[in-house]
Amino acid sequence: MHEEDRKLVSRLMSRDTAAFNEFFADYFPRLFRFTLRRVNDDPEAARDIVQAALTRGVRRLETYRGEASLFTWLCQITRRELSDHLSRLRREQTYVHRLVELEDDPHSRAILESIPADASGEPDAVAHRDDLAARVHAALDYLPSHYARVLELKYLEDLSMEAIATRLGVSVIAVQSLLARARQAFRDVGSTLLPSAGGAQ
Amino acid sequence: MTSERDPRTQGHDQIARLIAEAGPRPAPAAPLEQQVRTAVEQAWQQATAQRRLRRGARWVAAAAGLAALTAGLLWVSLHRRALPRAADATLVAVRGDVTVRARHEQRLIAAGTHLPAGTTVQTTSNGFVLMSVAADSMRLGPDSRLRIGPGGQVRLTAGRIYVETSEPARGAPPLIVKTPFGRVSHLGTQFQVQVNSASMAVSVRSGQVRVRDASGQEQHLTTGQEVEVLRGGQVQRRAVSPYGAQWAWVDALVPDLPIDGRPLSAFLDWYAHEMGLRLVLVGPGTAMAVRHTRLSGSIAGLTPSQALVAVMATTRFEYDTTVPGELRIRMPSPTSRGS
Repeated sequence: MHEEDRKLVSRLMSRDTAAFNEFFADYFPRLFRFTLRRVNDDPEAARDIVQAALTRGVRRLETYRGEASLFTWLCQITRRELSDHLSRLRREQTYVHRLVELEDDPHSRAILESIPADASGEPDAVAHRDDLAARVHAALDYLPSHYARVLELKYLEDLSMEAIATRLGVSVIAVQSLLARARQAFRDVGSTLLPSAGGAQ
Repeated sequence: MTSERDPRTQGHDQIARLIAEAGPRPAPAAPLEQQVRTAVEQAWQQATAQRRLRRGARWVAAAAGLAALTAGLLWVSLHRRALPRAADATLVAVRGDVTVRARHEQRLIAAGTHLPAGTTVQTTSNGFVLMSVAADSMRLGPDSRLRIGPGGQVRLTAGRIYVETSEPARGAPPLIVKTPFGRVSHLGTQFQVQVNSASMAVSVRSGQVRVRDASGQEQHLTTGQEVEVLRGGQVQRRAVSPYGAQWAWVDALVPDLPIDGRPLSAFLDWYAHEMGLRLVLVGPGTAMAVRHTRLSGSIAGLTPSQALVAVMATTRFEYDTTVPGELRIRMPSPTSRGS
């Protein structure tokens, strides 16, 4: 059971504004990235889908039982909204055809190809790096937010244990423990998304 | 060498490398996040209010039986009408000196601070406030005083306010700006209201608003129109440009736009929207090319004009703001490309 998530939902249902702020700040960016990857990086489409999903979610909070994490529960709602969105898109065949024609147009292709690639590598390498980054971000998004946060503070911002402890307002021992659990959770999630992370013990 | 190391440390190194190589997770653009937040917050408040009503109705029914059920339903009906129908305000950002008071008590000023009905927000000569009220975004200029009222109403007694709204959600009341000279209600729009001791001026950048002066007379304004209501009740109507000096103060505090990893088109749309300009993409292929150009870095702390210069310098596109009311973007000509 996901007790922390159930408590948050309970506070949301009792109209606790701080709980709403916490809920939105934690889940919106993660769901947005979850959706953005599935709508060809179209931020407007992702916004509409996530807004619909979160609106539906906050209206049905009483149906959340804590059997799955709140993020998983919200992802299920978002998937349904995504499915509706894609069905609508399929119905708009003319729009799709127009897009295809534009991509196939030699002039458009020439313009697209003339935009300089990233200086750090060949197109294949860039695509591979982008794919890896997307998978790492997805793995972090699937973790409880305090796990993702401590991993980013440690490995992205390169902070010392003391600095992380100060930032999070906890002891160094607590940070060490949190980091160990976060690394294990990252390995567990990463074993499906990132084979190289899952193998590390 | 590597094989002699503790496998656990190797695992840590691998996680460190993966996270470092992936870089920070991209954040949604602030205006987009704000739009979703206001809509979801409104839905959440409505849902929790309805749950309370349902709980209250159940209690009354259980306590008083079938006869009381009728009374219970009446009670529910009355309470449904009495509920505040829109969210209170929330502070999004503050610049300069700003005071926030709620029922004689000074409140903490920080992003995310909830401002219930009855709160007064006051700015000094260097103060700016960005806030959300229900599904709407508001910016308060210097030397202004605004009181948050119930049900999506605010009262501006001094200074200026810039309002950016969407179509009111079904069942939700529109935002109403009250002043000593009359009231302004929007119909999905961007507009500003300025108040001083002698008059109120309402200018519409886009969309439509309805202005009702103190005598009850109504004016309907659309894009590019302005009305001034004087103390004596006289009304002056005139045209107003949707861009230029009159709107310059609005740029002092704009919703943050994270650009890292976003397409250039998103930045250009944002800039044109903020400046009241029409975005014109000149030449074949320019529209697609700006959509496929990814930006990196940050424009945090820059005004929209500063951001335009900084961002465009990192791209190969040319821009032109000399045509009144337009931001024109074009691909570089072959001669300039070669140079």
